[in-house]
Amino acid sequence: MKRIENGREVKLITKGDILLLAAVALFALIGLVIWLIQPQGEVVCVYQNGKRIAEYALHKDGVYTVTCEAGFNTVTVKGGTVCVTEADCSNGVCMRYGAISRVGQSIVCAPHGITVKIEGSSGIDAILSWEFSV
Amino acid sequence: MKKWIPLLLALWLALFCFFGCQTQNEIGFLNAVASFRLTDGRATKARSAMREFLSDLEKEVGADVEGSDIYRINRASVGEKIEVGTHTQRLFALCLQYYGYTEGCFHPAMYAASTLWGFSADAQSYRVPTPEEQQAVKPLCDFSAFTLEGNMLSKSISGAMLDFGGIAKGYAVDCLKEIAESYGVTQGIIDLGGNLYLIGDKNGEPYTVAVTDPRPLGGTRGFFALTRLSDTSAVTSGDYENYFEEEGVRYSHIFDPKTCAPVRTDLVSVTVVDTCSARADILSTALFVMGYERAVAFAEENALSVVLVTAERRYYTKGVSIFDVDGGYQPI
Repeated sequence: MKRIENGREVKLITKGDILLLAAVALFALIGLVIWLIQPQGEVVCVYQNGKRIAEYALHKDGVYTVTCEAGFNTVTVKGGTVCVTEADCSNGVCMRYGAISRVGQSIVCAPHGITVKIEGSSGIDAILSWEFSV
Repeated sequence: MKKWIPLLLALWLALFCFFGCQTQNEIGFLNAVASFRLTDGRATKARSAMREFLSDLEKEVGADVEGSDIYRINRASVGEKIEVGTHTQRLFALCLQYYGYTEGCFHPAMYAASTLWGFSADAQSYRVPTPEEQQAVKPLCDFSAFTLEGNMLSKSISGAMLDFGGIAKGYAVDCLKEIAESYGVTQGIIDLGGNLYLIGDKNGEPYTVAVTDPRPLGGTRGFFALTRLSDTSAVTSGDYENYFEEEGVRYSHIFDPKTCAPVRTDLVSVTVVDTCSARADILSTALFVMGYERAVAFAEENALSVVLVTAERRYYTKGVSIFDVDGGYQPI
């Protein structure tokens, strides 16, 4: 598309504009793909020292082993519940805590700095629980 | 070259949107997990100030943090004067106050005993000590052995150990709330390993808070009940996470100052609601140690807001209304 302005030809859409549009469209597409491949609904998130290191769907059974410098924790997701079934930590608190199933609940393995948390939306804003710390 | 500028800008914008928004909310403090959900004010600045505060506090008062005030006093010899920071001084003053108020049920000098049983970070593994060992540790569990003069802390008994585990989280939550408010935060939730501060409310409505089921009947741990709270702190103590079992006896991490051994109590969960989180933290542990009857009397005498759950699956509430009680618990 061209327009005559002061006797000169002016391009209304330049190559740069097209490139910009293409870039925006590309990133929109990447965003859509990321959004689509994200696990839907309730998600089991594993944090190590506050950093998210793994993510599993709550409603898809699986056994996952999370390893860190301090050792390992085996996280078992089964029938919409999640528990730590095996760990080489010093106190085993994470294994004794049992299974959790509600959004917001978490299992803490203090010796390994690991937190297994169910995330998603729920009507509950906060959870009162006794959590082990030293 | 110029034509690449818009592309680079778009790339930068896109990357910023994907990764810039994922702020890290959770950090560790004294091996507990801290999370801050701040809905207004200068939340990002507040969060980083709060994180910095926790890391500084841990370095000052963490019993297992090498070089901390507590680490040094626990390894000090009799009469040796240890210079301590302002947080240690304030925590010590609070300990002194509540040690008296709870008639010693809140006891900040049980660390020697909890280490012997394997509950502290300095211990290797859980075990029931021999009767001789249990007897020998008793004189070391003496809070009166510690004296604070100005910023100098000393002790009169060799091997006596201090531990702010029963108060540090609550104290930290109070400080965090003040930091958040200083950054203009009027709504949000601070969660430090289950110690909560509910700042303001949720757009005019109180927050919905769940209390964890201390003794789930099935294999899955759900909620005991829900409650609605705003503008307050709430703390729960229980024996359901950190304990060990030997020959059918459950040994919990909370120690009885009278026996210097894991407490035998008819309570399984104690929740205290109070605008001061340090107070809620201390009292939830103290009431747990007191046991049901004494805890009820103490709560009534001191006009506390509490939810007590007994081993017989019965509950008592005062000043807190709960609903959606699950797991077959019955009111007393």
